[in-house]
Amino acid sequence: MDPVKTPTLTALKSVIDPEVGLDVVTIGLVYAVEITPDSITVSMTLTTPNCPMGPSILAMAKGAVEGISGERRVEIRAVWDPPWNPAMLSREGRLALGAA
Amino acid sequence: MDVPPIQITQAPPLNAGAAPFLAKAPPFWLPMRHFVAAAFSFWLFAAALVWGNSRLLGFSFDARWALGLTHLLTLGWVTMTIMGALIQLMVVVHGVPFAAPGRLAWAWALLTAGTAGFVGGLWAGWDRYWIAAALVFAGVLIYLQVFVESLIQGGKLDWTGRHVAVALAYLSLVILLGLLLAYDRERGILFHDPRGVLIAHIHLALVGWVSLMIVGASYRLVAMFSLSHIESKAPGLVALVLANVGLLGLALDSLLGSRRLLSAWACVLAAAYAAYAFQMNGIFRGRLRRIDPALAYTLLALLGGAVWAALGLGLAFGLVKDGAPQEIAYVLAALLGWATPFILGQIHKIVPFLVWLHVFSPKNWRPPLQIPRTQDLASEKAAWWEMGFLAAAAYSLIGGFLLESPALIRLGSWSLLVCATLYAGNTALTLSFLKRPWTPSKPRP
Repeated sequence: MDPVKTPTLTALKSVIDPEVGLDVVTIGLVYAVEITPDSITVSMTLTTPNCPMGPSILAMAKGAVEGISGERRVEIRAVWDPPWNPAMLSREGRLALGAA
Repeated sequence: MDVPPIQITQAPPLNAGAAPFLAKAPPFWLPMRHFVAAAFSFWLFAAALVWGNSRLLGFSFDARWALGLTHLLTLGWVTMTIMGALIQLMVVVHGVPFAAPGRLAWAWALLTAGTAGFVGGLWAGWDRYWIAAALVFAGVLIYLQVFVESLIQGGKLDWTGRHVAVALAYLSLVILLGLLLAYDRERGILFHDPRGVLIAHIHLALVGWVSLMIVGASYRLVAMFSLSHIESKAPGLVALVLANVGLLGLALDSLLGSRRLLSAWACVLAAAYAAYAFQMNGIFRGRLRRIDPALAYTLLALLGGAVWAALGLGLAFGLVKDGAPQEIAYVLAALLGWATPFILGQIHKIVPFLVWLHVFSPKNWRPPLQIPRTQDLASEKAAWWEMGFLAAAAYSLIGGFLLESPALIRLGSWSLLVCATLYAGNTALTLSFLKRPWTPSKPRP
């Protein structure tokens, strides 16, 4: 088990998309987590560009990761390519939404 | 890479007021004042319908009482809500701050005062109600100016933006014809065929303004809220072209006074609706979310649109009796069967979202402290009941006017009043979170 990546993803799972009602990891919004001794960089997207809740969700993600980052700097990168599509939703998310 | 283990600790709070979207979002009460005024108009319409339902069958479509009711619904409810939603939607679609929000507050004041004066003038027997119509005209001009500025500022129009732009162009024709009609009703000097102008005015409003706005918004919002996506836009493109051809043909045919090809234009418009329904079917088939009240409302609207198109064909081909009650049934199919369910469905998303954005997003959450979901800010159960009463109201009223049945009209009027009351109550519940704290009712899984 990755000693940093796992807590990072656990922290991100506390970030709920207020409209969908699921966390950003389950929705499939988190594309990558890069960890160095100095920083944690999360590349993530939103279900739709210009989503009015998007900046708040990104801010929540930053706050959540800062809670476990210790002295590391935290950066949240909004990524639009590839755009999110429903196929990225996890099986857990499909079950939660009643779509599986 | 040497990565020391880390411990999960309490997250630090976000900076006070950390809600980045608020920097470019319109002020809370700018769209919200539209929704509050619209909810009041919707309730007043339903109450007036209950109060006067015994007289409705005895009035012609041209009667002042009926005209006042119609405009309370079209201006006070439908247009007022669309303007509020558009203020929010354009920021989402284009991602740029809104141009001149201060002017929009003036536009709202003029639209509200103009609608109140126009409807009140019609009901009170005031002969110069066209002066109030001029206030509506001025208010809409300001909306148009600001929206066009914002569209230009936003750059290239996406699919929804194109529908919005076309709908705004039709709105300008609607209010121009409406103002001229109001003046002409008192002076009788402008038009040799006022009925043809009225038919053009009604269809430019219902198809060009209201429906194209709904269609454009639905591609964006329904796909977004249902977690679906659009594979091909071809059916929607066909719908857009056919709707414009059919509408312009019908409007010109009516304005020029011949009205010989109305059945042909009705066929083109029905085909446009079929193409739109096909596009929406694809969105619903690809959805990942269960049917919640907002999506159920959209399905109810799609049914209402089909009934409206069928009634249009029936009237055009003489399959439905050509009388004033049947024409009212046709207009109600558009307003209560099609537009109102779609509007209510989206408003059930938009109002809780606005409260969430302006009240909860600036707060300093400390994960894993729970924050509310938008659905926690309204009553889903009340929304389901509300939709049931709206369905009963719309089809009782449509059937009541078609069959000229006072009992059905009475049933529909009361159902609509219950629906409007539940809607006002649910909106008030959401707005109560402006003042009171939210506490989770039960732990989330």
